Amino acid sequence: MTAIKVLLIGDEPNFLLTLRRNLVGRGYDVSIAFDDQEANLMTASIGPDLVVLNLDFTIIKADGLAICTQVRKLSLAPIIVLSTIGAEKVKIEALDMGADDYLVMPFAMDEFLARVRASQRRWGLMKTGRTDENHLILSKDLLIDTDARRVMLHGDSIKLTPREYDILVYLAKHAGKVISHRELLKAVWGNVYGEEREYLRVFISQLRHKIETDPLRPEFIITEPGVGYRFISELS
Amino acid sequence: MSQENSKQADLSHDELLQQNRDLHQEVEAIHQQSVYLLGVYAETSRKLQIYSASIKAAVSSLLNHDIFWDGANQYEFLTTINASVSQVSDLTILLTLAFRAEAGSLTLNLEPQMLQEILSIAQVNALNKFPELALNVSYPTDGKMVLVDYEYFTKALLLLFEVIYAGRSSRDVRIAASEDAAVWLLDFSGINTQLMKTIEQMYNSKTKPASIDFLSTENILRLHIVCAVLHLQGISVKVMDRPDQLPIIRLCVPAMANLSGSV
Repeated sequence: MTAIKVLLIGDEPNFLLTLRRNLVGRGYDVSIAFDDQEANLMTASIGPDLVVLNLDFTIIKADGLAICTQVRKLSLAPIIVLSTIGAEKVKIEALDMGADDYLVMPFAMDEFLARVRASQRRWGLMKTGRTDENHLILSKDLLIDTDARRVMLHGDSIKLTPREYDILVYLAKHAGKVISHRELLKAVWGNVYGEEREYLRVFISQLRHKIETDPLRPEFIITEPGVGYRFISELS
Repeated sequence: MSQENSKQADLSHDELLQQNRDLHQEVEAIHQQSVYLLGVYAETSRKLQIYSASIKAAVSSLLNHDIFWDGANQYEFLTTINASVSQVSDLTILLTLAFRAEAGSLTLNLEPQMLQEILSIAQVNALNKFPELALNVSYPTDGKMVLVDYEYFTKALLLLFEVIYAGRSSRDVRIAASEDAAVWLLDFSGINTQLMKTIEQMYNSKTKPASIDFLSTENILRLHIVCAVLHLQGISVKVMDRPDQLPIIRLCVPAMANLSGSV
């Protein structure tokens, strides 16, 4: 079995080396990119299964968000971004630019490792296309093939990020039922989540732009104000 | 107060308008300075979070029980913690001094001191910190004493060396001390000219220098502290950039008229 490849990006050596030591100690194959050029080169050459990007550069002047966008163009692998507190706008922007998860520094190592494991479960499912039930979900002209991890709208395939796909499938599998923010967060991001509603707002908005004819008047994903979301299906 | 009011009444409408415009400009300059400094403090705080994150990550790694760390790994974690704690400590000291300077609560104890001794101590400290820096300090063995705060002046010189070390234009940085009438002249050479001009600008004006982005946040803080400490001791700063001569940055340290010493 080949080791899971993790690419760490940032310029604070003490911090990155601590993350690397922890990941290597648990069997991951870890590489480090110290600037944007290395990040691009290594993403393209290594083909990582996970990218961990520290948005806060301290030594060089680099734009963490721009790196996030570039890495997302080169790879579909999950991206966990790390940043300091007080950068809420950056957090939303990073999620908007293709990041899958977000951790505010400082954090305990077990929390970081839990996020890494959760991202790998989702990535593993996406790469193998394995699901255990309801391999086809239909709703009007929207078809979700969970075996192939493919979503078709009016017969055309549409591209979703792993996180968008997970949200859509979870909502669709519970079509008709109101899913609370907390439940959706826990189901898609993992048990350590529950209060990060802004994550959902960003991803649901992105999803609606991809699957709804008019994102302002959604037909598939309905907002239940103050509670959560509901997926509308012909079958529900 | 009534005199002030009568002075105001004597001013013409145009003069009052001009006075008003000048006051607005001053307020705007103070506001800009305040915004600029707060930005520097916020950036420093962000770096503190990152260095703290490094400590927390390393400590929580050692506390995790799901994995056994051998002696070599434990040593590396401890080295990381040690380096990051030093970074946090350095930044905290800089912030404390910068806040005190800004609040006007830096209290200096000015006493007659031998400049040669201060230069010698500062040189030793700098070489301990940056062993690869070729720092040549020359001074006459005797001369008038200077009226400075020993601790703060030595600290300011060390902070200045740290900034110079980051922006030096050659491997050799030279400081030549000489006595001239009522002052001691400290001429620094071998330093990046842009850095010299920035130091002079920061010393002379509290507004943000035109070009400062080449400096790290730590070095901007260091220079703020250096300038505040020099001001409090009546030490002036001037860049001498003459054709056919090495550019130098000169500190003029007031000498004591009737006190002299020798080493």
